Amino acid sequence: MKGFIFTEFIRFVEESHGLAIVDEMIESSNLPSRGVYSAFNSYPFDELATMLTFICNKTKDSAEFLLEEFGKFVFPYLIGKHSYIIKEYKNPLDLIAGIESHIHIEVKKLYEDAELPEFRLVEKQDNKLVMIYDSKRGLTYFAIGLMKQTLTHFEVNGKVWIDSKYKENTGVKLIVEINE
Amino acid sequence: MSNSSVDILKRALERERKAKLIAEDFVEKRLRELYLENVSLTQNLSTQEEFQKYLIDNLVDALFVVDFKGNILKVNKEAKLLLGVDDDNLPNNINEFSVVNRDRINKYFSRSNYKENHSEFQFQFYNRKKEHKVVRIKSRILINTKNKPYAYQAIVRDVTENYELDLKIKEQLEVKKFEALILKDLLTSNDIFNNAWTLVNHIANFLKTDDCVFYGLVNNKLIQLAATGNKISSDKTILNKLKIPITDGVIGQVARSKKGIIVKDTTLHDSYIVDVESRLSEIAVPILLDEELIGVIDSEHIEKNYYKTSHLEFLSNISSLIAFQIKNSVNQLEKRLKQDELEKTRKRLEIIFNSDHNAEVIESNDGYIIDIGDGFLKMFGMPLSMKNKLLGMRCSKAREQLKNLFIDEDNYSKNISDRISNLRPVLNETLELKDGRFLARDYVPIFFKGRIESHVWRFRDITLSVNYEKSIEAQNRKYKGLIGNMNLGLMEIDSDNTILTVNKAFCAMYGYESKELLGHKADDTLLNTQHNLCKSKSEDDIKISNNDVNELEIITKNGDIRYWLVNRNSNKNINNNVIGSICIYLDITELKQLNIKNEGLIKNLTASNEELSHYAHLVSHDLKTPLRTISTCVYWLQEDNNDILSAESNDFITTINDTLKDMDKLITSTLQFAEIRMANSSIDENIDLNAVLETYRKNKFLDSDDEFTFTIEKPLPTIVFNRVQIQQVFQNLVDNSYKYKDEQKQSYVKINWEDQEEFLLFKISDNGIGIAKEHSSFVFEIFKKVGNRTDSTGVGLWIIKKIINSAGGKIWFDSKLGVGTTFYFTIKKQ
Repeated sequence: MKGFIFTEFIRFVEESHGLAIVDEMIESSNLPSRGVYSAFNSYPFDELATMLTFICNKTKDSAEFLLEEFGKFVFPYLIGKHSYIIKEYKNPLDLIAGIESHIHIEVKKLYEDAELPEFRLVEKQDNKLVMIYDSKRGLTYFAIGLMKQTLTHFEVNGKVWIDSKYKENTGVKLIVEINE
Repeated sequence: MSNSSVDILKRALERERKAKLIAEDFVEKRLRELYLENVSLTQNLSTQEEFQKYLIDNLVDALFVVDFKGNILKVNKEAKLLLGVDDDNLPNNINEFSVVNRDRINKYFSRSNYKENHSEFQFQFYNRKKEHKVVRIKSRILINTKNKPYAYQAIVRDVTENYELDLKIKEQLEVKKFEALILKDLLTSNDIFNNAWTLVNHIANFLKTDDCVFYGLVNNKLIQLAATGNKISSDKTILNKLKIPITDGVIGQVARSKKGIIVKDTTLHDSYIVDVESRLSEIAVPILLDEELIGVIDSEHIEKNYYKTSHLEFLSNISSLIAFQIKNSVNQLEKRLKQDELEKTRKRLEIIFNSDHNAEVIESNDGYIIDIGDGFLKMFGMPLSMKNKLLGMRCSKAREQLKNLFIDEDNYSKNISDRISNLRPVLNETLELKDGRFLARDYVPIFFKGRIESHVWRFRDITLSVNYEKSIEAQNRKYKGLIGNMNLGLMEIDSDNTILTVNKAFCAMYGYESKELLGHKADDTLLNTQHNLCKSKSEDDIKISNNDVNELEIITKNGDIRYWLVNRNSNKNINNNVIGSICIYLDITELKQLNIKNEGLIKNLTASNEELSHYAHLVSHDLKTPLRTISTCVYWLQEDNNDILSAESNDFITTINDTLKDMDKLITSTLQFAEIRMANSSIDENIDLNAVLETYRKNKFLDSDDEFTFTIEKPLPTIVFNRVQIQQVFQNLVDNSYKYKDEQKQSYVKINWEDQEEFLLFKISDNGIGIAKEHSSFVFEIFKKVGNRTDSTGVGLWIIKKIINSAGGKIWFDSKLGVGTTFYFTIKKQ
């Protein structure tokens, strides 16, 4: 897992719960990296899971909630860094639809070792987008957070939710809908 | 800041520093990698460029770089060779060259085309040295540093030689294929027509034209044996079966010179013969076998300058291939035509020979039967199957058998040997058979090359015509006798009224001998006729008045005046032209005199009848007066002496009275009868029967009688009749119904009528007492009456019958005793 997730997660915990909690989280978690993260490198996913669990226990918030909040938190960082990618998009649905076909390709140019989830586009209308999110890791809510923040970024009202009727083994069906 | 806070920050700072080191390491490592990659790529690239340059220069194919506007940016050595240029005069643009189908080339090199799949592409052009080149191009797009396509790099291979070789091979292949096709057809079939048609179709296909004609030399004329295109109708008969004398036209020219020619423009060629439609170029080659002309193959094309020398070679080649076969076929055709002709003649002769009309026998010069017609067998009653037995038989033997059929047996045989020894045709000899038939016989000797070859005996049955002539003669005699002996006078005259024939009766009527009349004009005054004998009229009148009978007053030879009726009919010849007339005369002088006598008699009779009627009227009227006096006197006598007269005397007086009454009635009837007779002479008039019966009904007060109904079932017609008489008829009949009504029932009388074609039928029916069968026979007799009724005179029905009958009608009745009576009578319609 790319290092920026870890550096941003630590920043996220620091901003939401303070540096003391960050310190406590790293000191008590016995991480192989000892909490030293560089955005260039990759680190085991387990370390993120360990830190997330710690925060859940500490704050009594659900992992899903935390991940979604984390997603929203990361969005400005991502677009700030990679504005040359984002500026091509004029609306949130095009951007989300372009994750797989465009954004991930740009990511791969920088980090060829990046392990990226799949976003398979099922349906795209002017105000609605249906896709299958398929990842080795359970970061669905992280993705939802990112998408919700995308809507906010484009100053659009809308919803993102999981289609509970979707029962396939691989992936989760995500629906993004914009209010008229 | 607390210690713990400081610790936390220290730790966080420591983590950040470490992370920074890690990141620096990563970046340094990555930079180094990139540097190395770059160095190796640059080296690689220069080697590649050099290699490419080398490759291009040594390429066996031409290489062009052409931009989208067709500008030539770069060429190699080979390309210069291909274009026929050197370094001094390098072309700028591909459009400087003459290219077959330029649009295709321009499209190929256009900008819009670069995304399309650039496959191999072949085209032809003419280079600077005017050489025809066929090239094959493979190209790829070139991209500039800005990643934009800007030109095509095209590898161009010169395939001119291959192309021409290919064409030649194709052409030869085509020729061989076609030759094989023709040979196959010729070998598999000997039928000239099939051959010829196959041939022309193949040739036309090969020459890519719709017109090819094959002429065969038959009887020194070129005859179209087969043709393609619009000369062939569906049944393969040539529409315009052109026969060309060997001297005429392009084909004639070929036939004479025995050399194939191409006519590039037929409009410039004076010997061109227009066939179905005019075409502008023509090719023709002779079919020769050992320098002998067998036929001509000819093809035309609508375009000028169509045929090439290669076509001529090809056709010549074909013609030599097929010559032998065609010769054979032409020979066969000629033979077949002759055979057909012979066969047709034979068939015709056979039909004629075997027709029933011709009974013929052909005898060979040495006396055998060569042929026998079916008609002959039939004539002599032999079955047709006998024919085979008779053929080859000696004629003398056959004659022996036939001879006894003829009346003149001996002459028959002798006659024949005379004929044969004379060898002269003898026609129409009449022979009589024992069975009553007559035959006409013709004898014709047949010579072949000056020598007697055979004898033909032909028989015809002329019985009918012989008998016909005989019967005509007999008839003629019969009618002449009839005419001569009949009582009517008959005279035949020609159209100039000259007398041709007269019969005995005419002479007797007229008093002249026939020789005094024949040759004279019928209207000649010499004949003492007050009127002309034939009432000379114009021809038109005669036609119209045919069958008219006219009366003539004639003065006979001894001066008597006679009255004749004449009927004149025009006499026509076979062609229906009038050649004269036949007049038939009847002497009616006696009849006429009788008539005149009769007329006088009738006049007298009528007069005396009228007198009689008048007299009867007078008498009956006058008789009534004394009768009344007697009646009155007897009445007074009885009144005055009633008490002294014995019963017997009284009875006598009663008898006298009854008798007087009877007598009175008799006189009344007689009076009535006389009146009717007198009324007879009065005139018929239009009478409305409804009015007549209405008056009668009122006078009789029939309406006031409850026990008797009088009905007219439908309105009666108006008739033309004597008024008194018709009144009497209806009155009498209705009176009778009333008189003889049946007191036991409600009585009626009904009057009805029907319109029958020529008559009006009237019905007067009642339900009276009816007429007994035994009385029915004398109902209409005068003075007959049933019973002793004092109100009936017995004259009424008799009078009615007289009236109806004399007006041409009938009266009768149906009756059943106790049921009723219906009287019917008819009146002739006017």
